[in-house]
Amino acid sequence: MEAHRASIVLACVVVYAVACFGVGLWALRRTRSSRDFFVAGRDLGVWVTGIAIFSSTLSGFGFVGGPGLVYRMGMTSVWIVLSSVTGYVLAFALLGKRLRLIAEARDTVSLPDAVAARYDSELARGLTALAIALGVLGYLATQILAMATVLQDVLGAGVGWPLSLAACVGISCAVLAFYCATGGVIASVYTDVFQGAIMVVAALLVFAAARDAVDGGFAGISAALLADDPASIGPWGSMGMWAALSWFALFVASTAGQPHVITKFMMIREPAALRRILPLTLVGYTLSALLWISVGLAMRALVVQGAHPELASADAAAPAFLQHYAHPLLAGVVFAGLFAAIMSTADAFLNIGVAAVVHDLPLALRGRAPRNELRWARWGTVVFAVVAAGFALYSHHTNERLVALLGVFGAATFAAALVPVVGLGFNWKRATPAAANTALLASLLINLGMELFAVRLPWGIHGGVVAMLVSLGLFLGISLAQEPPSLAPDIEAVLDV
Amino acid sequence: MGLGLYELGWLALFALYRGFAADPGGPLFGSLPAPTAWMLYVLWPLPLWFAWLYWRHFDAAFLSERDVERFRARLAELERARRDR
Repeated sequence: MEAHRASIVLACVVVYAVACFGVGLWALRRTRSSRDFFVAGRDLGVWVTGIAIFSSTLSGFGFVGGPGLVYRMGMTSVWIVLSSVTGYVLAFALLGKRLRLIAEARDTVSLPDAVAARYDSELARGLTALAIALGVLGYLATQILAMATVLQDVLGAGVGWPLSLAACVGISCAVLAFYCATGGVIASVYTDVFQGAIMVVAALLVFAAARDAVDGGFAGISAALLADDPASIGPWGSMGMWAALSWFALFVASTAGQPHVITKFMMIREPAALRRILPLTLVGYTLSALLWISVGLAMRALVVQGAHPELASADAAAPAFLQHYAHPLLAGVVFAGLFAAIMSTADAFLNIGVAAVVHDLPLALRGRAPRNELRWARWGTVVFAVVAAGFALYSHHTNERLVALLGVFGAATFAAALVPVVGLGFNWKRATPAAANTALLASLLINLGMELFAVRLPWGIHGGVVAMLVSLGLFLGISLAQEPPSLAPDIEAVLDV
Repeated sequence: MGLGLYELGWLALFALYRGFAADPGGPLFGSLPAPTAWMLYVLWPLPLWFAWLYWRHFDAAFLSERDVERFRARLAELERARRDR
């Protein structure tokens, strides 16, 4: 990276980090209770919630991993983008009003809280909290490692301040832990607004730059890819139809079951706001995802045409594009956007992970939450971030599969566990606590087993789909085999609306 | 209506793909091969149509102000009964 370009990028990243600190300090004064810390006092408006939902879904993966996948396998990975928008619709339709109303009825501050209320089961709370805590640890470690890697590149190769990966992990973790510990989810969602805006602007500018980078624009890109490998620019991409469809199914369910997304339904001031939040979320996500698709396709076309050397790894697609084909200021905005994408996901995960450990596991195990929960939540945030950072470093130096394993385990478990138990169970009075607990346990065991023993299925079908089908089958079968459960009157009122 | 449209969208994708698999060198639509153009320009934005339906029919199909009022009244009633006990 030439010096002036790197200096601009660094300046953008520093301005961004300072803004995060500022929001953290501002949110500190607004966070007076654990309810403020975990669900923003249930006082969020339309714009804040809508932008926070899409920006926390589109992580660093969307800015680096996504373009890399498009570069490597063409349109196959674009099905993840399509599935996400469908998943949002499903999540809003199935869960929006239910979670918002259950939050009002029981003053719930986390998803396991809502699950415990729905099924009147502390075991269900504990299992949901365990699935969330384990999944979040993997996700968070991935995000921190991604932030540190980008920071190391910006500081080292760019402006000549070579820092070790551990130091960059420390800096990234410190920024994240500071604003999340001081301002809780209030800081998280308000930084998400800022981060979402950067992501949309960055994506639109990069989309235009990608079109201009290849002779003939997008038609030129298509012509180059058709000449090289027609399947890559076909609708299923190089991996084929079954892989694309299984990804689509898994990610639709996964988006609808993302705990950091659906927990935000409990934070909305008025239930009627849901109707305006969904369109806002979809438009924001769709615009941001343009970067994912355009950069991967443009870099593949440039390599095929011989205008750019073959990349060392697919994940280098976005950085290589920014370095060679984007204006330095645009590169700066996109790098800030990349940090924004990583941090907006990391802060959301950190908050729900801490809620699971500080609020829900003690409730499930001891029957009560800790006294002075807010203080525990703040320290818990710091400890959780440090543990995730340590895990990321340990995994990086000893076994790189560990972080990926827990990350994939998290995504698949969220889909397999939460889709039946939350997605269906909050819309079906017949669902029983035993069915919910069995489905939760099955999803945890099957997904963990698949990842630990590296089980691979034919035709590229993702193992998480099997876990989801088994969990769904058990949930439906056990519920139908048992007597209909008697529900608490307030829960019945939620399900009747 | 929304689901029917979605189903049609998928069927059209499979039909277009059959043509593309037989002859990938066909004409481009919006700078993309026909089935890919259909996927990106029709299937991808289709959930926006659902979002519009959600927005348009929210009161009738999901949650009206009256539903919320009734729900809050029921909660208040349960709370009174709990206190009385």
